[in-house]
Amino acid sequence: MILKDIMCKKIITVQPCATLAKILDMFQQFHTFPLIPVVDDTGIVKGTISLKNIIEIFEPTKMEIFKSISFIEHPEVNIFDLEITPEMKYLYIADDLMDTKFLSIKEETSVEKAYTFLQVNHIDKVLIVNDTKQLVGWIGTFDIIRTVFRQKGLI
Amino acid sequence: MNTILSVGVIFLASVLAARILNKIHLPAVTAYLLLGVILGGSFLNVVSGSILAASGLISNVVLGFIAFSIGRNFSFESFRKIGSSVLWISILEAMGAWILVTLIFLALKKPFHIAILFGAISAATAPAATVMIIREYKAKGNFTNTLLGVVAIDDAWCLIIFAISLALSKAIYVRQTVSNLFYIKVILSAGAEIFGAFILGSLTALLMTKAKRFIKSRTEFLIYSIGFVFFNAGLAIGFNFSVLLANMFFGAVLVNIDHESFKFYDVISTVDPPLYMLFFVLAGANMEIGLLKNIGITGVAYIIYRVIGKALGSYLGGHISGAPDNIKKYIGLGLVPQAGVALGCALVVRSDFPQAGPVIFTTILATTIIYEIVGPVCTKIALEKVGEITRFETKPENKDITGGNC
Repeated sequence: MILKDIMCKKIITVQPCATLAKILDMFQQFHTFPLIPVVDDTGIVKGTISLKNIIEIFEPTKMEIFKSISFIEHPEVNIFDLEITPEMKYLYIADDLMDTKFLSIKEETSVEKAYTFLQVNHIDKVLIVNDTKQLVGWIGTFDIIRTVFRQKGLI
Repeated sequence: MNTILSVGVIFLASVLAARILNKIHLPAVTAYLLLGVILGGSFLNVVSGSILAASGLISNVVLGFIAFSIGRNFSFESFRKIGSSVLWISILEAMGAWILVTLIFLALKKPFHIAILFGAISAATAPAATVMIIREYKAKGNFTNTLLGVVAIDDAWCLIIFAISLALSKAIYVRQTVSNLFYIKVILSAGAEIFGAFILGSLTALLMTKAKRFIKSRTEFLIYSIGFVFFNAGLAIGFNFSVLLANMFFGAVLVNIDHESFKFYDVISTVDPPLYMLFFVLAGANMEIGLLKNIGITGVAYIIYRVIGKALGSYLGGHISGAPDNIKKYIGLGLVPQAGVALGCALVVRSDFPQAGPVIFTTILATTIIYEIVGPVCTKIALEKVGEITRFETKPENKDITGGNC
């Protein structure tokens, strides 16, 4: 069985020019922390946005480049101490917020391999792309477990 | 004190020391260094002999990890993001300190192979101290962004400069007779070492990327990533290449050929903090207080001319890249701190030059402690001078705030 057979094809995405206001509106529709893919006009994934990215935009020393420096402590951002003004929701766009370092997996990958991929990378879900790197779906650990349980007649 | 107890004391005391120095706005690196000096042979003598004897090994391992992490900066994406000002300022401030300190030490009648090493080490800065001040005072603005970019990339230039200088220094030290042919041989030998490190780093990166598909669990992934850092450093030692350069090229090639390379850096960063702590504590513990009296004019000249070299170089870099006047004038002041990479380079010198090495190491260690105390104050002054330590103001300049559609 390959991912194409069991992946979730309904994906909420944003374009790189979407404002923070729009993204926050979308976040409010979720009950848990979402991971929103940022795709361009052709459907190719440019990055992902999570709640963490939205908080870190207000902390300038959380720059990507500092991840390469060995002696810097990276304390968690204190959300109660952030200097935020209402206008900011129109000043930032998805392109500023998104994490360009993201994982994806191909739709022809076997379910077993995808499960190992999730375990090795310590993630709960991953984006699925086709050969031209266009976003076609996503899969989570729970979906794979559910598929296995279904095969075994448990559900 | 037995070795295991000694390690336990170092680990626990380092947590306490970092907390205490944080209260007086000094970075954890300074706390570890001072802790090492106190726990070392010059004072309490609680660091066991077997740990001190392993300092060289631990330093090489840690430097391998540091260099690998620094290599991550050399992605095409990073270079696109940082902009020309940061690139020019960082290159020229590093070279400014290198050239000026070397010339001043030559004027002080130091042999060339010593002068060039002091010059090369002076190129390093201390990003942790700079970031700490920026966070603490919530500095924001163009100057802050440029300063962050420069300190982030500066240590990479330092490693390159140091590798070239070390190769030249070793060649000159071994053969004191000098001729034009000799200089050509020295340059060719340094070039071969750098090229060899690049080839080795590239091949290791390629192998790491290709073989990762065999990894089946998170634990294997962690061990696999750490294993490759050791493997590359070990091969570099075996082939007589620079460990620092080989691992930096390894990181640099990896980040450009594998779009999922961030996984390797991220997994390694979960285990390296205790190693770095141990590295600094042992650096402090290795300080020979008795040698401090020999530093004198050398230490003073190093402290003064390193800062002048950085200020002149960054001014020139700012001028070439068309940076605003306040950046050209004050960014040198923000680059005063010096820490990890400088100490790492000094430790390499200490082991490669048994005669002059201990004095060079003690000079760098003593000046590092001074820079780590004075440096953050200088950074704060620079940020105040350019007016970027202020409360946040909302001025949406030249931006459409309608939040309309794409």
